[in-house]
Amino acid sequence: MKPSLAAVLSDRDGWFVAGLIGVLVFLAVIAMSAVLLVGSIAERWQDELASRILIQLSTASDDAPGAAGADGVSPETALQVQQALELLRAQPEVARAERLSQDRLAVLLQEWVGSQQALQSMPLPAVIEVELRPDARKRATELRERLRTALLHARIDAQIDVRIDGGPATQAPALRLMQGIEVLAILVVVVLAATLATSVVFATRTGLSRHQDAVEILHLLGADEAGIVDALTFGALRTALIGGIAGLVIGWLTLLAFGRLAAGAPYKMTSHCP
Amino acid sequence: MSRLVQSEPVARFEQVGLRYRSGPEILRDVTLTLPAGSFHFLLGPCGAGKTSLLRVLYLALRPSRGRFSLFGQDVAAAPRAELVPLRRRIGIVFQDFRLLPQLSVQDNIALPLRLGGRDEEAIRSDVAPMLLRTGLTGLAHAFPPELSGGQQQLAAIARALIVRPRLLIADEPTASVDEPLALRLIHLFQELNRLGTTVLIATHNERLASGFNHPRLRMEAGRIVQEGTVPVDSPPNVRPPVGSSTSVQEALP
Repeated sequence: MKPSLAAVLSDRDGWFVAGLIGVLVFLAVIAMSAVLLVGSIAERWQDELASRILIQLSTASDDAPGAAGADGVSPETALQVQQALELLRAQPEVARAERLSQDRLAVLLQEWVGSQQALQSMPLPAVIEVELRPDARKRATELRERLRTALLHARIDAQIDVRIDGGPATQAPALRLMQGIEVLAILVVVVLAATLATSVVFATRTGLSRHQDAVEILHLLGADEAGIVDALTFGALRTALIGGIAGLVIGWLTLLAFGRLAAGAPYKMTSHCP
Repeated sequence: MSRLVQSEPVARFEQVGLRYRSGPEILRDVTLTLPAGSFHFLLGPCGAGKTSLLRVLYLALRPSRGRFSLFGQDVAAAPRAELVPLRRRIGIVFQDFRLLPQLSVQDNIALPLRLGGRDEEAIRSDVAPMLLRTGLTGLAHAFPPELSGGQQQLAAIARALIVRPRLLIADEPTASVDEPLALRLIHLFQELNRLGTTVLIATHNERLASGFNHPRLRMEAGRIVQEGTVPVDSPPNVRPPVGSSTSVQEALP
């Protein structure tokens, strides 16, 4: 078989360099995927947080022993809830407004309170879950204030307590954490890219110095400079491509495997934080 | 047997000096002309400057001073690109062989042809006789590290001869071989010389050189101290050994 000039100048350590590039590209793929995943989760979370509002209603009568009816709140609070629902559903920005059932509320609160018994001994407020229309999500903060005002104005009983929850401010620490992870992952990608570039430069220089003798012989036997440069460049490019493609494929397969595993896992973003 | 001695010298050194960086001068005021078709031995002790002179001649180094022309072209200040076609007209036998270890013997021999852009069929038809001529046919697919010093020397010589060079430069080509093979190699160079190639052989083996009627250049301390005691066109006084049946003309492309 005819040996090309690139084969003459091929590097026996090329596989090591290709492997190194492969590992770095693999790590870069994983880190980049993490960036995209965390970014996507944060965005979806933000979007979901912006789209949902929890409104907590309670009246002084809820604290009275035995005041709770079948639905867990006093008749007075139940009436207020009904009025609030009507008001909320009349708002053009509101897509859906439903009162959370006491059972659902109990499930959400249990991990914070600790035991079912403790939950049973304490009065639970009435909570309305409001889902905003997509076009209203950007004005969620303003809308929250407007709903609070509307609810308070609609109240005859001045003792009503209206709490609106679920806004960005409430979830800010978690979001900041997500954004921090995203920035960290981007930094990892940048560091990996810099390491990759440095490794390739270093490996190429080492290869050049190792081939110095062969290059000189080729020169003296009549090889032209461009041919030698092309051969060396082709060799480096081939090594980088082999390593890069291998790292990319392995990274992709790894992500695919994780995707398969994650597909079976129960995952649902929720803003139902107490 | 006719010798081809042309009027245009193949190489001409005029007051050439060479130093490596800021070190002392290795070549001093070398003035020398190699006529086309000539055959010279270059003699001198180790460190006399023989290899440095050859390195200038085969365009691995440029003189630090003086004028040096090759094939009629002043190469002291020529652009690098202009040196490539000149190098393709030179056959070099390095003192340390300098075969590429990752190539087989036949690929090493074929390398100058491939660098010159010859097609593969022509290369195959040229390499086979050369392998036969140098006795390397059975080692065609072997790699240099698997060969003895003498076999590597033969492969290096075959690589130099394969392009049928206009100038053959050999640096201690007989250093790694025994006396009979050394004589065979010199006869090989002589046959090539008869076909018109200018030959310059550097050796410290004065006994070997004295067995041939070729001019001897002597170097000492970087200077040519003795030049051309035998006429260029004198016939050699040593006959080719029995067994060298394939002529260079047959072996060369």
